Amino acid sequence: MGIEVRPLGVKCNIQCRYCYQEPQRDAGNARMMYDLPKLKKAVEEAGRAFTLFGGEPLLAPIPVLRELLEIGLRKYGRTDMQTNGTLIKDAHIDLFREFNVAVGVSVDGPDELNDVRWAGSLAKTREATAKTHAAIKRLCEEGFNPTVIITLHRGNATAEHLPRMHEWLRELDAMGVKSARLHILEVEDDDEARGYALTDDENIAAFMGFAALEKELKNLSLDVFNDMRNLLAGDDTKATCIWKACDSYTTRAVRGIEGNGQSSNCGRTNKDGVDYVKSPQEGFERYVSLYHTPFEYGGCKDCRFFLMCKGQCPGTAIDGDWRNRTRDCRVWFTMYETLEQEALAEGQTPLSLDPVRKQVEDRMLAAWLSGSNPDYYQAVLDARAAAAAQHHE
Amino acid sequence: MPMYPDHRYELTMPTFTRIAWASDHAREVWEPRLHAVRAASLDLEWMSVEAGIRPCCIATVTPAEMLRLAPRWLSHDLTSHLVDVVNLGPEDGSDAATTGRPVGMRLIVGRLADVKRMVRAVEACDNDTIGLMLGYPPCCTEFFRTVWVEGDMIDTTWPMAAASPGERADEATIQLESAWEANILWRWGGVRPVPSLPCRFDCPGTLSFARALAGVARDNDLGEAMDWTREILSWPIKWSALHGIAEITTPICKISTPTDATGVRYTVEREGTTYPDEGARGLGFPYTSRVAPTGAGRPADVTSA
Repeated sequence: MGIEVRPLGVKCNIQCRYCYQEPQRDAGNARMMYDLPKLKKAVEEAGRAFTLFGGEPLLAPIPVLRELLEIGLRKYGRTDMQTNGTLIKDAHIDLFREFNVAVGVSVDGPDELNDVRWAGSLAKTREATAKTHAAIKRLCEEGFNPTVIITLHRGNATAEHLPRMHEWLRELDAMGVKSARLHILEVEDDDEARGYALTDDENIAAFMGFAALEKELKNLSLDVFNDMRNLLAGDDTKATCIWKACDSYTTRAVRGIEGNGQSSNCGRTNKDGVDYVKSPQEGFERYVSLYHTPFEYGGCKDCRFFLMCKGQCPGTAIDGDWRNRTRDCRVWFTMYETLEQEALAEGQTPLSLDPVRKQVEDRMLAAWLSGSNPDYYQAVLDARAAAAAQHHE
Repeated sequence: MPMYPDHRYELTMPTFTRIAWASDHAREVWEPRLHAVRAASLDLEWMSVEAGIRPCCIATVTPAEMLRLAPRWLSHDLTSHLVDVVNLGPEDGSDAATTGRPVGMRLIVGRLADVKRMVRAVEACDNDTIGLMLGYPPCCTEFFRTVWVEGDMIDTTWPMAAASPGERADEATIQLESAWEANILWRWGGVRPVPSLPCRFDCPGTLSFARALAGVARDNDLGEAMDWTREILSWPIKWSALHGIAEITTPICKISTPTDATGVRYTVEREGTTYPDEGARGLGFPYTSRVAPTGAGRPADVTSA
């Protein structure tokens, strides 16, 4: 489980036009206050390394950051941070070094390609973007080698923008950025951000292009493709949460700690703007349901990629309703198809086409019905071993 | 409005009832009250029999509760008959989420002759007599037979709403008002005005039944729990069903539980007349229908804390 510590809740210094935390702000639930003793106590008791998160975590004063990072170093050896990078100053760099902070930067591209990450006016937006890029450069020069999260939208990933994006990723690669996570823009049908969303075909073209680009990069990996290749190979042990049957009531992969010390879930499922407390009981009914629900109703019945995808992140579900599969189904299906062919060409049998797939599905369904959510790695190994033994008899 | 939802399909979901609180504060304030309401509901079942409101009740009790209650029943000339042993969930008066899967005994409780008649009716699957013995309004017994038995539904919410007066935003959304005495949407949280499944949100028989039960509660020192019941059932609440999973959204928590599998989302929004101080601020119903808090999270005429 990742621990996301949000000292100032979802408060942020910029106003990305697509931010998935906007419902919380619209509902008036953007906490501006923190209770440092309660926050520190919660972080002390977190039990594992945490990520300083927001909103924008660097809005917290330096002394507050120092106290939290001190706990991170003392108890867990390090701390991660996810920031938009616009506020990074010398004092922050010193903190990062002193307390072994790994920095992730949220940025969508160079110059105008980052304009959707709005800062109030075009001039301020460009200024903020320049600061973000200067921060990435500085972090690389200082040896921090940050990761980046990139959201794909009409402002950076249409056909006309992709060549520039590829060039920028090559620059990041040369600079020493280690990893980039690509997000499909998360929007609801009635969302203002809808206008920024790519069509499925545009998303597919963008992902195909990035997958091809990745092969020429030296340092920079695009983690979504690694995940999907591993999942098709039958190894889900290191897959990110979007592929791992997330329960929206407990979001196992993410535990938020709010400024008042309250434990919360990953914010991606907070469509009504309420930051629910983690449910005391995990459940995986969504996945039992999606497995049996016909495709035309929003389910995943008979999909050969279900084991790998599981309807994907409930925060991206059709109509904002976690009981549906992801609205980006066609994009992911196409990408899995492509990577499936890639695996076949390399002489591998992807799990999607493996005769043992049904056995593994049955084992996962049985686990979900009993309220647990194991990796399928062992089930795949067992099923393949049994099949091999049967073959030799 | 059709009684049954369209786009139904075969899907058997596991048994589950899960709750997510809107905030730690809401939980701190309301969880003990919910426990108190559930505990009182159990007593109210047999007290209503003792008071002559109805011939029998079905009570689900833990072995420990059985030890407590059996002597009291005996002193009121009541007896019990074991029907079934079940796993307990929140709706049965025990919080399965925090205590694992406790076992409960489902009992028929009443005077000996009535219990015997009830047992015969249960064995014969005679729903009319069962409903009569439990004091259920005849219209609700008929509704149960039609929807649950013949319609093969496990959740009567949509047919109940479809039979009630209310606004139809579209074919799959009903917005309505109801007296708290016929608001059954909190039943998965263990709070209900009547033990029956009402046929409508304005069912006169249900309103009378609920008022009679409330009277018994007040006569037996259960007034505080009844006040909380009325308060909770006066809040706005939304029930929605999709793919065999129902989600009940209230100002203080949301609850998920199995329902009939449908390919489109069905929604029932029941307007509230009050809103708890601890209720969440959020987007959309039930949050936007927030009305002015009445202070201390309780109706103005509640006197006991």
